[in-house]
Amino acid sequence: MNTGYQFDGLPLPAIQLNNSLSVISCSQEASSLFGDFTALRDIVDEGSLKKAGNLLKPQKTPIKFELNFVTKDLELILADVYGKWDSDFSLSVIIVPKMDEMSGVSTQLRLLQNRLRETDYDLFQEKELTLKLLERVRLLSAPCIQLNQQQVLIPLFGDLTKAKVIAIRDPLLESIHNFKAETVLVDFTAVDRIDEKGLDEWEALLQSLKVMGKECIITGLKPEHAKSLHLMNSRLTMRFSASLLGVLSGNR
Amino acid sequence: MIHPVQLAELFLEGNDRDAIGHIRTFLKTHSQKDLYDQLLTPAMYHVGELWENNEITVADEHLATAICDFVVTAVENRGQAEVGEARKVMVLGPEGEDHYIGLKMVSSLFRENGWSVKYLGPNMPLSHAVEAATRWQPDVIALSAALVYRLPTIKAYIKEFLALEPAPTVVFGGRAVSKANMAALHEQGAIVIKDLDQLERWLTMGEEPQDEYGISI
Ligand code: B12
Repeated sequence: MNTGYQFDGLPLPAIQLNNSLSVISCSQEASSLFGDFTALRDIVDEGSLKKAGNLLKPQKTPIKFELNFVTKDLELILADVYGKWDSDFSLSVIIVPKMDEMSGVSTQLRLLQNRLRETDYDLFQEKELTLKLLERVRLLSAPCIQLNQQQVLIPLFGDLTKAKVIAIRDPLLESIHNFKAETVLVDFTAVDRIDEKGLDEWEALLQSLKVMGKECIITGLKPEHAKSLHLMNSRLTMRFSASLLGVLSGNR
Repeated sequence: MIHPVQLAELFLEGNDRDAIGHIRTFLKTHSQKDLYDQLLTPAMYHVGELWENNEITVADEHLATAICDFVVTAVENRGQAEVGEARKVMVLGPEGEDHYIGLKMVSSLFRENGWSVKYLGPNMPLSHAVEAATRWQPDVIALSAALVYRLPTIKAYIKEFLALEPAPTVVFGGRAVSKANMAALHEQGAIVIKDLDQLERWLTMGEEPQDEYGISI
């Protein structure tokens, strides 16, 4: 590859190519940016090869378009390409890298995106923490208290949701099993809302208790709870009692 | 129903309103994954074709990407609460890789399948990624690369991730996936996933994926 004298004064990479896009000569700027190369395809990014081939066909009018190049440091750069056919066999090409002009804008964009992402990340960590706390709260909202040889008491707190029932299920079943009590009293006095999915999950939990041979007595229901739980009762054996006190005193 | 080519035009005009309108209509009868596979990805690929035909410039691509990104965020299903011990995935692109639309889609698909997702974004230095992974201990790390030149970097990332204790499963996807590099990455211990279809199959078929999903190109 020789350095073409007619290009050397140019402050930009310039190349003279033949009609198979092999290098006839090139400017010093071109060799310092791309190193040694013998054909245009040596310095064009593979995703740009088709474009280069299609657009650099012999034609009368000069052409301008963008192309990605690979520098001698294996860096991908975007550039404007100006091409002009001097004859059917000779094409002059000037390459104007535009990374610099773009990079200001894209750096700015990237900084903005990073800031958004960091905010997102901080929120994410807060959310993680909140989720963990929530899980703790759920676990603690169903303590299991041994009353006597026969009975354990579970006062439920808060809303009865699917996530809550899932959270309390395993520890509850385990402690009930460990206590070896026959009767499980579940007190709903401190329960607020009961949602449908929570109820489904609750029903499954009661099924497990039944399989374990435990009797379940539900106390402290509010009128709005009673409606939904009533539906369930038709399918399950489960006793209701108006107040916890009633059950406990009947016990004596 | 809107065609990807029309959608690409809306993106290039910067017309987020109409784009979102059409996409909401599409979502009435299609899944989020269909949206990515059948509309958004083809639309962005079409943007790439217009550039190859010298009809638009990279500046236009920037605008189209911004609109596409906005639209993905606007219609994403973020509603589902992760229940109990959701599985965790960390999603990122390696340093030097700025293409991130695919990453966002992958995140969203994981989320839809009930995963807890940490989206680190593109251009994530290895040391940062390793630090985040050590702290958060994801079950899976999903990597994406569009630039073919990123492959050696990808290999370095996979190696470091698999050396973590406990080692996460590493999945890799994106435009840079090709027949040639797939075997090498696979050999390294990563699961190579070609597209969202395969990803969804992998996610829904459960625990340990069969190699066939990874390498059925
Ligand atoms: C838009 C675009 C840009 C935007 C990117 C904006 C952004 N931040 O994302 C801008 C203008 C910034 C840009 C910049 C560049 N780009 Co660009 N870009 C594109 C374009 C047109 C579309 C990319 C896109 O958004 N696709 C849509 C997404 C959804 O598709 P996807 O990434 O393939 O993802 C899908 C799958 O691959 C899969 N997937 C992806 N990741 C993962 C991960 C996992 C785990 C799984 C399972 C699946 C999966 O799921 C997705 C959904 O289907 C492509 C053309 C093309 N054909 O891809 C060029 C293209 C990718 N860019 C290219 C190049 C060269 C560049 C630049 C170097 C130069 C330039 N043109 O400015 C810079 C590089 C910047 C950098 N350092 O990364 C080349 C790459 C060629 C190569 N050698 O690999 C392409 C192919 C264009 C071309 N023909 O030359 N680009």
